[in-house]
Amino acid sequence: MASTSTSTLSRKLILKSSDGEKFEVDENVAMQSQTIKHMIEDLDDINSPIPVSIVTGTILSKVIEYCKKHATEDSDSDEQLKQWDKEYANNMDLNTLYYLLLAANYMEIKGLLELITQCVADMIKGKSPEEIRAHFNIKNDFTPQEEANIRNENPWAFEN
Amino acid sequence: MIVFKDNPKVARFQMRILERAGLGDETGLPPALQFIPPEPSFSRTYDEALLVIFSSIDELLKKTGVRPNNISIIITNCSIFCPTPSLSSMIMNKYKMRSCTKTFSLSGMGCSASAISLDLAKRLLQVMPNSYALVVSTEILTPNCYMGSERSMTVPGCLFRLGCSSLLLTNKREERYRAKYQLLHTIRTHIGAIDASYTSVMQQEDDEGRLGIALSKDLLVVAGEALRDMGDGTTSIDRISELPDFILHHILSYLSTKEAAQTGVISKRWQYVWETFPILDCNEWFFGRELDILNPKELGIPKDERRKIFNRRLKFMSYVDEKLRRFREENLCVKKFFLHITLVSNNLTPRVDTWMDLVADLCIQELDLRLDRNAVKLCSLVELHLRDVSIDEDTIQDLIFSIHSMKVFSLKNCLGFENLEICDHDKLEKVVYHPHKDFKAKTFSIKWLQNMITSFPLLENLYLGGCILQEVMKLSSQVLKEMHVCNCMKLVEAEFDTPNAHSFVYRGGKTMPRLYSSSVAAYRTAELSVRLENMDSVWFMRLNNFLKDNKFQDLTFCMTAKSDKAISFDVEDYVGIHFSPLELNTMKLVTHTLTSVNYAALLDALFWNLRPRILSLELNYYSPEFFKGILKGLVAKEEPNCYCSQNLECWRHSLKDIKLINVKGLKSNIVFNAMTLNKLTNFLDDWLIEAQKTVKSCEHLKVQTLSFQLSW
Repeated sequence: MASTSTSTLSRKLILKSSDGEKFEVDENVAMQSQTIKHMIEDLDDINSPIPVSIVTGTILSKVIEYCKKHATEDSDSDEQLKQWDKEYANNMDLNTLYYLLLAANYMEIKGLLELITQCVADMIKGKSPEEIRAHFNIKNDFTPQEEANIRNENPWAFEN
Repeated sequence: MIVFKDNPKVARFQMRILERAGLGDETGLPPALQFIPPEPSFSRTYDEALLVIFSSIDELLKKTGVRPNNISIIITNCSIFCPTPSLSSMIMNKYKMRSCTKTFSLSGMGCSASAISLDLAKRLLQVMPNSYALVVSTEILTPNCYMGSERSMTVPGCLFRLGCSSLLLTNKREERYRAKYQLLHTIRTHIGAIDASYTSVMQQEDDEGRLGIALSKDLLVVAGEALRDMGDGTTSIDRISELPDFILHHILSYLSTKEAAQTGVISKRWQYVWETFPILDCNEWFFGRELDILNPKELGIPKDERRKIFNRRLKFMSYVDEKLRRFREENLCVKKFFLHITLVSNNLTPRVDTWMDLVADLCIQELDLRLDRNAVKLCSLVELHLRDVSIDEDTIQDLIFSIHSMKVFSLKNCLGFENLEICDHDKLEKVVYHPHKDFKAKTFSIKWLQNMITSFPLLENLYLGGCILQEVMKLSSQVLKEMHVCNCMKLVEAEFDTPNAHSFVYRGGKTMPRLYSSSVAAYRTAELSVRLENMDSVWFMRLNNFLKDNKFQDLTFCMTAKSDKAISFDVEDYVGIHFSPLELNTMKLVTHTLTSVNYAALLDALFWNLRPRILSLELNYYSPEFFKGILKGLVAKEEPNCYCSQNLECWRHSLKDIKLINVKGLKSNIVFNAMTLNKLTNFLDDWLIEAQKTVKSCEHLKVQTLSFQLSW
């Protein structure tokens, strides 16, 4: 009963990913994204699919998962929601995190952007530069001399 | 291709490569290169292209049985030879293909081009259902005949042979059964950003000016690296470094300053990210917790240690210097600036002052200064401007309290404080205050304003902006000289007790407040922004009283009009009231309005009791039409109702004559009347045309004034 009442209240929108996959979502779920919110305002016909041009279907489904959880915020306590966020972010591999960041930025979902940046920051925390390089596969393009110079410039950052 | 010439050394090198290259006997060089000496002319090059390309396509079409008309995409790639019309057009022409065929001619991409063509074909087929794509890859050798002796440039001649490949790709389902291969993945990696990769294959001239292609020794290494980048697949690509700067900055903002600084050593990209990180945290503790010891000598710290502390402090100072200068020079955005420093000696304060100057210039959003209050003597800071700064009350207090020398304090668009209570400061001469538009505090009370003014006994200039003032404003100060009140929408009434004021500016409000003066001030200048439709007899009456109570010399009216509603000024309203005309030095009119108004009524309103000796009209882009109306009204022959009565003499009757002074291009001291009106109208028209030209060419329009001398 409850579900029918909500569905009559909120309209359905169709989001179309860059590779053509279509997702039907409640309007209040999609409205978490400022970009889509603005698009809807300019849109006359809400039944036509809304293109989310740089986000692939796999990533978009993850974004929608996040938005759905946060659209129904009253069902969970803040504590539970935080726990859910944490698990959500921890289940992603680096590649997905990267695309999620771009998607959250493009779709202007502040909460998601903050969640993922925080998650990446947590990965960096407590790691030495060498460990960070290994973790993110970042190539060290400094010569040993250049690297030593940087370390000498700001010794306070590198001493324990 | 071996050019023996007279250089047996190079010949031997080439022989060696030829032997080891593994080229079979069935490979061949183009005919042009088989001549002695070789003849690399354009026509021979063209012949070679026709030979290899068409023979390979002919064979492909024969084998597959596909008709040229059914092909909808042609992609050719050839690195060196790039003729016009293009190679793909040659194919179009030869096989008489359909006009809707999409053709692409890639060149300059070397060996990788065939893979790139495949990727392009794949992407095109993804959007063009039911199509055939023809990919033709070749290298035309004739123009690339290098006859010099540079070793690295003779290598291509030994390795490359005549040839071309043609591939047919399709996404047609019905062709699936006979397709030989299925294209599964294409991955593109471009490592051209690395210099070694970029220069590994390069067309260039040798020392003798002969053109050729140099293959560097690094070629295999960089090609291997490129393949490794691809080969590891998607999981190990360094994606995070590709993120836009601001997202990486966002990530850094979750780290401690120390951790963020450590990322600067990861790679060049991260070094850049750290160096442009908009949160500047300058804390002396980074350089040693002991830096906040005010008096190490008294604490019995040995000399060596003291020296160390001193050196560390110097390092910290130059660190801050460096950071601020860099941000300033490169015009980088600073979101937050934290400065935590203990000023142990007065020698340090000028340095901090320079920082504050730099900080003032940077567009900082948040400022947090932790300066030891007792130690701070920012002795030379005179002006402190904070703009778009989030700053709390305590910090404002601290700043004002600690900077004794400060004379100018400006707070524009700032947030972070609830109430602005500024304590005593005996040097402050100028306060500028524009609240942020989100400022939640209630309108400030008269008491607040008065308090502020008494807090600063030397305050001479007061600039207030925004609707912070209550409906009634009362201002009383013996020293206040300049007052600017801008955009105070709520202000209805203002009373001034400012005997020494000499400049008064009221700008931007929709309505003009009632102005009162409880003491006589000899104003030199006043500027009033007025809305013409709000001006009526009552308003002018009040203005008259305000002007009468104070002595004004120069008065500027900035007039705006929203509608062409007639000005509701009528001298008849003043019947029975005695007025004496007020003399003024100059009256200046400025307008940015294009609507025409009732000029006769406006002139009546301006001159019914004001007798300026000089009338100036400030010309800008909008005003010529408006001023034409004013000028016509000034010399109007059919005088509107003369209102001479017992208490008032009509201005038209008291105005003896008008002389034109000081206009570029016009004679000065000529009498302005109906005769010269035409001249002036022409002048205004010409001026407007010039102005339009200036504005179109995006140049700055210089303001010019038309001045008239009025004899009463």
